[in-house]
Amino acid sequence: MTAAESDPDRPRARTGERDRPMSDAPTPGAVPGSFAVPRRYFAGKAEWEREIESIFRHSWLFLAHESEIPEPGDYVTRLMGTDQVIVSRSESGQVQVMLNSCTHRGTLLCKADVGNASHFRCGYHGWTFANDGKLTGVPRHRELYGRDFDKAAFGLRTARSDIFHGLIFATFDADQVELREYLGDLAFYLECFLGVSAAGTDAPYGAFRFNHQGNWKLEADNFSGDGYHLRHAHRAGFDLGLMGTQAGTTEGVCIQFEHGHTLRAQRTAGTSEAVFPGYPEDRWPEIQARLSPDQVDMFSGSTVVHGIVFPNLAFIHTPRAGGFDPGDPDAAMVQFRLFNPVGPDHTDELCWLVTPADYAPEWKESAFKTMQRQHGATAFFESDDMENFRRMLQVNTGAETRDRIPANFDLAHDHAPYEPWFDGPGNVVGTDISEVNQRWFYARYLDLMED
Amino acid sequence: MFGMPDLSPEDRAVVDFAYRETHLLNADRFAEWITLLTDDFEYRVPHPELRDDPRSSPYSATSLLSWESVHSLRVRFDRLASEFAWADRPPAFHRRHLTAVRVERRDDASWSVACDELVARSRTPEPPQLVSALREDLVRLVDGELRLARRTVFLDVDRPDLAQIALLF
Repeated sequence: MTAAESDPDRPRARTGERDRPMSDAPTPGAVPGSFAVPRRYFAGKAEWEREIESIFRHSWLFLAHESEIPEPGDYVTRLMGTDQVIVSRSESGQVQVMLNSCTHRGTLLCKADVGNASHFRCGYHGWTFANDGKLTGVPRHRELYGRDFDKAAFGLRTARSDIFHGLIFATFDADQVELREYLGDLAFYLECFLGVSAAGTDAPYGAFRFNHQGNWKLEADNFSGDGYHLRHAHRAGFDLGLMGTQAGTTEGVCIQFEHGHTLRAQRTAGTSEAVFPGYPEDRWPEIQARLSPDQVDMFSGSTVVHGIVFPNLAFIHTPRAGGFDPGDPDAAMVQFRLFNPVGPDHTDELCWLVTPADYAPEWKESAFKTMQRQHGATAFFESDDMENFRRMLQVNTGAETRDRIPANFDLAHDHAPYEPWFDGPGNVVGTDISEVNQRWFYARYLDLMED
Repeated sequence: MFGMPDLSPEDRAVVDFAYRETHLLNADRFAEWITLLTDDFEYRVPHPELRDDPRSSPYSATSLLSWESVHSLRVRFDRLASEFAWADRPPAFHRRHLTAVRVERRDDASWSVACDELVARSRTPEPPQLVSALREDLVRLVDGELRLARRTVFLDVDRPDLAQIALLF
């Protein structure tokens, strides 16, 4: 255990299955003191249903970037756990998140992915709702429902929503803390790349969406801080010279936050000046002025920052000198990636490139190209990760495997080779190859699942 | 143009080119296929997006599922030849079927080529996939040889599974 992990004043990962023997007989991986998660959590239908109930109905969930719906009437349709929702901008300009279901008989109200509409009309009996969720039209309502019919009682159920640097989140839990409090100290780090421009952020290419076979938690696990897989799963990327600054001499940290969020960050070892690789040098003074001195210390010389907002939003920031194709400008790619569990074995994913809103189109295009080639739907970096997730699912449905062989998360439980180079919030552990973040994620997950 | 018997010899050569380069992809002869690309070749798969109005395009004007260049394709093929192409070991069964190849001459040295394409892919544990798409190409004469300059793939799938877009179309 590192000094940081043992600090009683800092949040600590609990031991998960440590005190729960998997079986009476010796079982590979189920050793005393081990941080192990039973494989049934990665394949079971009952476990998936409990996740929706215990986690997704109560967490702040990411849905869209504000720039996807810039005009009154613009909307996108998305998922909150298993619930279909409409994210719209009302005529007054407010962002609304509403259940996409007619309050009469429950038909899916809006079937399109994107669009612009002042009203949504149900295709079954014609009930019509304004884009702020109010019921405005019921065919023959005075004749058939009477004069006392109260339309206000039949508006669409609206979620609490809030926006952080252009990112729209929502929750149906009235008792959940405010979004800013939910993000907590993670905001300090997110603002290192979301807060670099006074113009704010945008998602200039919108979202792209795909399905894949695999359990959603494996994405969270991977992005939460898996530095261990890089040199193996993505060995081809290193061998072919595609990993850019991550292939140099680096030092890194893993950080854990309240509510289950995590972050892993690397920088070029020994960086002593305020440098922001990937960003146009004429914007560096603005970046330095907008970030706090502690944020500048943390972010200067960054080679990669990635992590998760619990439970199902990942983010990754990577600068790239020279872009991806020869002649492309430097770029810093920020991808947000949402993974919705449509079942224990199937995940619906959406990805966004998020950029400083006022940067040059050429810079944004270079960042987008980098995202497509590294973390796009057909990028081989992603393909190799997804292959592992698919193959884990293939074996985790086996009865003996599911019940007897846990997934293990013991890596580097007492290993912290770096002194963190900055003074930042959260539980900062001086290592970038560790499963401390995964332990943190699964500890939070198991706490909620077993409450 | 569907009247294949009426094709000029030049247009006929462009149709033959489409079948030949597709055969190279089917045969995994990527080193030969990549020599048929112009230096500025781009491969794009626009993101399918359902809109209510049938007059609207069902594809995003900005977002892509895939965007490749000669450089990035060369890297992809180098990876396939390496020991570390995890997602492609073992390789999938696959085949591209072209139908209704239409060519339209743009000028003395370039053609628009469109075809309907059905791509079959199968490898356990993914279920067998059949994906239909409209494939639009730009073919140019470069030093007297036909070369592929641009390929845009319009999927007939609104929310593809990764297994459906793992292959080049």
